[in-house]
Amino acid sequence: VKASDRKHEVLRVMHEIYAKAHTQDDFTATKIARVISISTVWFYRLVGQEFIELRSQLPGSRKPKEATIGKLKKLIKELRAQIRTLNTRLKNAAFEETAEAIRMIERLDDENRSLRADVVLLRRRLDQREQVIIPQYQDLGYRILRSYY
Amino acid sequence: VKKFRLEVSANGQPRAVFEEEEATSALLLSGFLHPSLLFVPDMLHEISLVERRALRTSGFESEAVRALFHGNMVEVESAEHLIKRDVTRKVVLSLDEAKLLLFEWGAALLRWHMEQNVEAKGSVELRYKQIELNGEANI
Repeated sequence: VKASDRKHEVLRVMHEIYAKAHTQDDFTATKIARVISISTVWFYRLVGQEFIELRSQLPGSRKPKEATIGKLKKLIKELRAQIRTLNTRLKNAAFEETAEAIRMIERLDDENRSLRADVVLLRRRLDQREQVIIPQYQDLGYRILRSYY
Repeated sequence: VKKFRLEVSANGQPRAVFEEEEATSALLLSGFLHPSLLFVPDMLHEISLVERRALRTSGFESEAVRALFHGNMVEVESAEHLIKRDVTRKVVLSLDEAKLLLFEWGAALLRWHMEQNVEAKGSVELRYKQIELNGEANI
């Protein structure tokens, strides 16, 4: 058999297989070489260029449905884990902010009370400038505070 | 009229307890009614001086409260050393309310002291009786 005839034969079979192929997985050098009963190396030597051109026109390998679903499930799981992590971080941040706000309110409240107490004491001091303490002949547990006109 | 009852505190002194008042007011009013027997006439005299305009204001200060008698009202506040703890404590009474409280407190105090005297006297009389019965001499 002449080499050119052999090449024609290989091309014919290759085109037949190509016509039936849906993906690149269906159209491999190994498969075609097995059908023609030649080695893959020889196959490439004969029609390598044509095979590569034809194969490039087919869509990539198709994964089984289960594999795709499994991959998607894994992705969903990862995304959920990310959401959980982000939620936890968000909660912690919100909690920290609330706690800080409460601490601030308490501090301001303390300051406010202290200032109000100072105001009351100062007002009393002002009043007391005009008040006279009446001396008592014995300690009764109270002292009289008078303010005159 | 603010109602109170007389109670003997842990130190043996009588004190006024205002059960119908809110906690802060009850505490201040209780402090306002000092347990000394001279307190009520003293304060009524001071109020009368203010009412007659002999004084601009009067009042008193004790361990618990500081009360000021004005021409138309009485202010009762926490004593100075308690202010840092709570500055919001203040009760305002009309002069009539304050006078009525003082009258009632004075009467309650007198009654309590009389009861104490009667009890003391009773126990002495009982002792005399026991001595008579037992034939003890040289009391």
